[in-house]
Amino acid sequence: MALWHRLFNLFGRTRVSQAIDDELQFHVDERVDELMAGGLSETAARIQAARQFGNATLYKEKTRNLDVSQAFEDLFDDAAYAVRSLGRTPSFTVAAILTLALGIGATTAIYSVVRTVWLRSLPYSAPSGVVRIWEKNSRMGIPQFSASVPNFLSWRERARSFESLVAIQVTNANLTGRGDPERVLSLAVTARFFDTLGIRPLLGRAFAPDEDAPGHARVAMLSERLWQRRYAGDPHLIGRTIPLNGENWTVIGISPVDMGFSSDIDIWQPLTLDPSRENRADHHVLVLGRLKPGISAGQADAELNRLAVQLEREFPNSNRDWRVRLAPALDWIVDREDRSGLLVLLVAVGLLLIVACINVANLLLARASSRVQEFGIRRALGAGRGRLVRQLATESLVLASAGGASGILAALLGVQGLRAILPANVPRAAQLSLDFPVLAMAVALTVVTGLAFGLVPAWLASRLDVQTSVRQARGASGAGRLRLRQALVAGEFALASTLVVSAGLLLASFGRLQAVDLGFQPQNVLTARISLPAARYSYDRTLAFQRDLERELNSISGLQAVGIARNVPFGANGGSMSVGPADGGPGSEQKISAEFQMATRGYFQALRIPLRRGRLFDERDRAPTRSTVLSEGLAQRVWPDGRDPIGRQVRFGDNPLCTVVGVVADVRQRALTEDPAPAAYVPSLFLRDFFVVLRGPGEPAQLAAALRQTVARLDPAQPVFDVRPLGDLRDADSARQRLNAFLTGSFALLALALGAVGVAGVVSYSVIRRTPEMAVRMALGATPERVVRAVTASGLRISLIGLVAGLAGASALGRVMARLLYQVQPNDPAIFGAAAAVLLAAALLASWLPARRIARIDPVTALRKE
Amino acid sequence: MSKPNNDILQGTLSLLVLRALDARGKMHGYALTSHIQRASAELLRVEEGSLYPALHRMEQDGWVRSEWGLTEKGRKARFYSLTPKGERQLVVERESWERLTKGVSRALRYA
Repeated sequence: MALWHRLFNLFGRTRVSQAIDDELQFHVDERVDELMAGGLSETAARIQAARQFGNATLYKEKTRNLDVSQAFEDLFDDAAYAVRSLGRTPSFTVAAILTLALGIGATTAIYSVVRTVWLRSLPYSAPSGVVRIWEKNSRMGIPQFSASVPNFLSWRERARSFESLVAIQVTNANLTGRGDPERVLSLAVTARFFDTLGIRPLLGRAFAPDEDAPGHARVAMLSERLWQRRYAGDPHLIGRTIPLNGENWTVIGISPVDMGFSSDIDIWQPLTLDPSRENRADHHVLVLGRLKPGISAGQADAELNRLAVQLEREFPNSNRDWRVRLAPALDWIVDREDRSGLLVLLVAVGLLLIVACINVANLLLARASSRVQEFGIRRALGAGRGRLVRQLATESLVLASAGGASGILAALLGVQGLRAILPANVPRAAQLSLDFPVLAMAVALTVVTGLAFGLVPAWLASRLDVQTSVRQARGASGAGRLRLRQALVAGEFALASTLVVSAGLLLASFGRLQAVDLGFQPQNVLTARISLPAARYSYDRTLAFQRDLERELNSISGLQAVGIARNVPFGANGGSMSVGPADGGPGSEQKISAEFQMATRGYFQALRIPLRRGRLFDERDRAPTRSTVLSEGLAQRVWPDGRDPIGRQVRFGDNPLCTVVGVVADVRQRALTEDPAPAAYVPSLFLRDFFVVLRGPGEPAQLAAALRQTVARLDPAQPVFDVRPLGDLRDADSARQRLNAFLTGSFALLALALGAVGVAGVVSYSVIRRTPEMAVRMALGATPERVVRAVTASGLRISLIGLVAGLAGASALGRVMARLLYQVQPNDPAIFGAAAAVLLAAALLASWLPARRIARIDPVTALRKE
Repeated sequence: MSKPNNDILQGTLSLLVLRALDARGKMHGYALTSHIQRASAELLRVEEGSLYPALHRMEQDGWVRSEWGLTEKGRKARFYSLTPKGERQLVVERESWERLTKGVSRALRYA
């Protein structure tokens, strides 16, 4: 019967409600009649009847609560009430929603990067069978290096562990035809590259096995990106030709976006290997292999190293001490340093998320504390306990949902922002997309936090004694809650401290990296590349073009130096060559691998590479003289006994002897974190692909127009590309460190701000609670300063506990951090000290600002209020 | 606002309602309050706010049934009457009430 009744009511909600109204109305009407019979006017009788009836609404609710449908109706009422109530405290609401959005957005964005770059499996068939193969030389201190073509061919011929081995070379190509000419990044790969990885072309076909043979027709594949950008995704491009470096290449296929490694490759060409033109000591190809099924990477590694020993015996000149290192493709694409970087970011953002959650919990608790009185009054006015709890829970839920929704928005923006600032060489950067599982996780975590900490005060409020809460809203009733909040804030501050220290370490490391002595001055230098087509430029014409270009540029007023070189520091055109002394010194047996640079006199002047001894190149060194300038480090290694190198002779590879005319400072050529490599410079400039360097008085980008005009005057068909200030090249080299330091620094700053807000919140709450106590103290003669100091100290105590825990956490993170740090120890006491000082200052400010208010109490008023 | 301290003891309201319906048959809510007040010689006052929730609960428990009807004055009102289950409940509640009062008076006598 009862159940039937309820179910019936569920469908007839309005009717039931109406019936209750009718019944109660009947009661009041009867009462009015009676009172009027007793002599009252109708108005007076109605007032009296209503008063006698009491809280009609509550009785109606009580009666109606027996119906199931009421629960649903209340939910909507509660939600509407929650929205109104949150709207009344906009600063709280905005703070909570922003905090949630930040936590969710940052976590999701960073985790999406980690997943795209590292965790998502490579787009190969059976990806674990794909390995990268390096050569290594422990005597020369080279842990991994490209392979030489003859060695690669020997492996391919003799090794049994592989289904296939492929060689890859990174090149550039001038792409012309319709639209502006452009320079694109190209990978030259041996023909079985796509089969080996198991990647199917998006359209068309991959290279046939014989298409890398010498003299084969020119065929190329395009990246989807280039195909879409330049050819609007035209499917008829397949089979047509495009002009690459002035020759016509037939497009046979389109490669998919996700190749597993960096996304900035636009052209694929077959790599034709000609052993007759290769030197076994010239290590310049990247080798990938596909293991035979059942063969482990370890077995393959062992076999290749046995082969390396054989080759060393057969070719002692070139292969002495060269061994092989083999690793799964993913270890090559995302190396240890990358992994540490991602891991630190992941930890940092995770800490930020927890700090954000704690902050929201704290805000909710604080809000509940300040509403004790409101709850008390509403209880007194007849609100049921369950109803109050439900309302608070609804409020938390509404808040958490709003936070979750803004979090999703923030995540979308974050991913978009990261896509914009990720260095292009980050593997699979172009495929970066929002990771939905992690977004769901982050949203769920914050919603659960919101609910949990929304319910704690709800539960506490439901136990409130009405009278106490109304009368003593600021009394001792909040003590338990205060302790909970203090613990939360201490935890929050601890996590913020860990983040601040870690960010401090990364920033210090980045600072050292920026301050590193490069050996040259990149400021105010513009670099540009020119690639003369072989079809139009013979040996003589190339030299003439370079001479004319230097002369023309030198005539531009205001330019301080003009140089031409094969490569520039952090440039993409480096190469090395073995160097040894010709005069039988103590090191004569030992050939040293040195950066081999070709550069004019102006190059040293433009980069301000200091001359240590002798002279720079000048007119005497015009080809075909045989002069060289060595770097200090190389000179010392060639003649370790400290003899004056000027006038002595060295031999590069198997070339004729060169005479040393000068010694210059060491220069960091390859990477900021790498010690300067030994370098040798020769003045010969028979290079069709070269760099121009210009030093001007100010902003180097302003020189670009003059350079282009000059080149166009000499040869209107000749493009100038990669026009960039040298400082940008240096910055690009530290782009990942910069990104890491920037992101971790931002997270730390946010966490610090949230932590300080947490501390300030607890202190202001204790100010409210302790006002009567402090009033008594002040009435008894304590000075306002002392009272403020006492309250400030309470905030500082909490922060200190957090700080100590946070420093411990930071030193625990040290092992991961160590790999990311340049010339900074992960437990550097100066940085820990500086971070602690910043944190303490923040804690002091966060405690003192709210504590100050207590000095403004008028003791008499405060006590009377009690 | 001070109220006379003669509100009906918690738990006894249903007993009084059952007893009133038992004695007088079908009654609407307003009549019930008036009846209880009169029958107790104005000593007991039913708080209107508790009466209606109590009536609905008793109806759901199946002790009373209700129907809409017209009063002598022609007003639409909801009339309550006792069910057999309600009659049994009245016996139970009456017994427990008597046990309680006996216990209380004994305690008062010997305390």
